[in-house]
Amino acid sequence: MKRILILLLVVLPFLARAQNVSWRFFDRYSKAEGFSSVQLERKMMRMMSRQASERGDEKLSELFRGLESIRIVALDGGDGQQFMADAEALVNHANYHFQMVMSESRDGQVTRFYLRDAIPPGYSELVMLTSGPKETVAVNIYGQFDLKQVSRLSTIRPKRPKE
Amino acid sequence: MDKKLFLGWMATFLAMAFSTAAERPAGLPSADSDTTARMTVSPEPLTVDTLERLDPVDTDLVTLRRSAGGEEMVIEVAGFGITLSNSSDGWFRSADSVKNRSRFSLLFLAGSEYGFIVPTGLDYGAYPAGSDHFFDLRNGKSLHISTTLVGLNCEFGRMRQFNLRTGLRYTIDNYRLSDNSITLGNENGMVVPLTLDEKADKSKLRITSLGIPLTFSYRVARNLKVAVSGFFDFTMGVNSIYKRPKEKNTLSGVNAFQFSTAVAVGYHNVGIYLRYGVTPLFKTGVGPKVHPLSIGFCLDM
Repeated sequence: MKRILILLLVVLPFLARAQNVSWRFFDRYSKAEGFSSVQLERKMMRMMSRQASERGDEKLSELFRGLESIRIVALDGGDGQQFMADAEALVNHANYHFQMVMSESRDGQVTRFYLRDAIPPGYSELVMLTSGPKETVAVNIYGQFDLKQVSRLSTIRPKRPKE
Repeated sequence: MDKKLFLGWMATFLAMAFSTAAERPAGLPSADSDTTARMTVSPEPLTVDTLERLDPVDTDLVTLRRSAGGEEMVIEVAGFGITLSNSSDGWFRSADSVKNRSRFSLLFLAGSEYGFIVPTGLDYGAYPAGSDHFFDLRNGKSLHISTTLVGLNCEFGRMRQFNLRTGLRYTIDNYRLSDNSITLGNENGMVVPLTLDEKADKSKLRITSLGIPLTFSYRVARNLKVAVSGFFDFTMGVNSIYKRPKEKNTLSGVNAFQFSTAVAVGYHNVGIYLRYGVTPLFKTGVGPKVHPLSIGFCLDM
């Protein structure tokens, strides 16, 4: 039994490696100069889950509880080519088994959505990459969720003036 | 079977199970389903004004909104609205989402079982007093390994929640005797304990068989399955083995056909099983009456 546990301990880190590499990408660019980022981590999700629960939105609360993180990194004057090359390398890496579920090109703006079943079982990881003249953004959503729909927004949110 | 080999197999198949879980869709997209079609941009632009904003997150980059029904969340980012729902919703995909996938598929090295054998209903019958208890086993070291080498899988039911599998199954059963000073042999057509000159490192009975399994499984929840199986196994080899160094002798008296049943519960690709040998291990009047019970974990059930 002891040997089985040791073997499991040896094998599991390799299995979980794919997730860690994805995190490293977002960690690297969220701290890099020339990029702006939003990172909603587990604690934030739990807080939002509590808030939803207090409002009586049990389903929404459960959804937040299942989400581990939402990470967004946007190009803000940095090296966009290297950023996209690294992002593409991430989603195309053989270990990660990402599947492209949507690709769209409009007015030179190329957007792709990738999904994979992550580890532990039941977890999913969604990566959205968009690049073009409007903006270059990478989004990562990790946790227990179902992707229901991807829709183009009908209105463009006005950018906030920089403080 | 050597213990190291057993552990090696286990590690390999565990890795395969998890990597398969990583590759295989669990209700999410699959290469052969129509997920891609489902995920294309909705022709109707999302009217964000109708959705309630979730205050804690509202930045230049991202806004979170609660869907009108309150069961989903919309993440607005880079000009797109990504609608997420709880993963426990919709584990039964609509019939449309799976109809394009074939109901039949081939299996290779599937439904593997790795477990321990426990003898049940042990009855030595006509064996003289003193020679009984020879088939007492070291339960923690009596191992059962079984896998479907090649098979056919059929999904049915409106949501394909039912599964029927069959194929060609290879099984190795190692019955490790608790008494290392004996080995099993045949005398006067009976299976009897033969005393060794000196105590061996290990003494065991190994039975290899090839059979036809029939497994019916039902998906009770998104990743939760229950299964019942019947195994029709034909004994290929029976060896009495002791190591001092290794000595292997053929043993007769084991039933050539074994029928056993099993129940299993699995989450994703991993589960636990309980298998009971309905047919006694030894032929009637030739060896002790014993029904092997095996318990352990199974992969890709």
